[in-house]
Amino acid sequence: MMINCKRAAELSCAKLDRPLSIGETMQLRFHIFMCRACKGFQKQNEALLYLFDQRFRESSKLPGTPRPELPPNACERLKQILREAESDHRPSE
Amino acid sequence: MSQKDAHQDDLPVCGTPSSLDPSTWVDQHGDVLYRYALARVRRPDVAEDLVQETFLSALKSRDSFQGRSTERTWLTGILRHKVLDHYRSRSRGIPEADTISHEDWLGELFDEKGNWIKRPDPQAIQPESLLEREEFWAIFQGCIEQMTERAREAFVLRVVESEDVETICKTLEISATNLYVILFRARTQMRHCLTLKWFRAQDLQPPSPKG
Repeated sequence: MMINCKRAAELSCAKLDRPLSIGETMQLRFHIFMCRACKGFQKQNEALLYLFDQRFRESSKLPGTPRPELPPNACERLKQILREAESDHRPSE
Repeated sequence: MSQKDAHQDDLPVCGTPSSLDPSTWVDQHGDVLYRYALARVRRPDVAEDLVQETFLSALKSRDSFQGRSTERTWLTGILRHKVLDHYRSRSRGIPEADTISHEDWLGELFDEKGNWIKRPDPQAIQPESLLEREEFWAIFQGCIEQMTERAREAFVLRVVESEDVETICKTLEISATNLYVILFRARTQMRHCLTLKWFRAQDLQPPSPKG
């Protein structure tokens, strides 16, 4: 039995988070084989994951990704805290 | 902050990562850790606090650093736990109800027979061509901001950290069924937001001509 697009969209998302049953897999495959729109949806979904991953991964050095920096006052504060904690750590020195 | 060279971040610290030098942590890793945290908690003050907690925890457990990973990886690992703790403490007391019913939302995408109201165009999101476009990332960020806090947390844990469903459910204190719904909605919402905004932006400001 052919599932509708709403169900196909749900399954193609669910596939990314849990294993589908054999029945679900068959239903989804068949639907996507027949339906260009849902094929497009699936492609977009994969693209989205890729983009999201790129955005959050520090290793990505893509031009245009926002690269906020620790504000200077926070840097100073952190350095101070680290220095104090260090001297507490080794009181004998 | 003396090292602002874009490639400086990737270099191992003085070649030998087997010893720790806390006095250089802020300059060497501060920005990277801050970005990591800020991407996940959104509020700058919370991100700063998490970085601070990370440094302090790292100092305390410095003996456990065995030089198997770089100093950066080690610190990021500690920060990752801090972020999870933060999610966990936040998730207490947030009612689940607001995240469950998504029929209304789906109603915008599908008609009563379950067909697409606006059919997705496979050409609509082409990641390779978007990656280097600054204006795209601004829109992308805007779409992330529109997600609910919990959806974003779940999405980050799932997509970026590749955490398994069980861990995410425990961290956010939600049921698996609920998580699937949240993730499904997050995915469709992001997709919807991107196609809508990106295309609108492109209508106004056509991308550079092909060829």
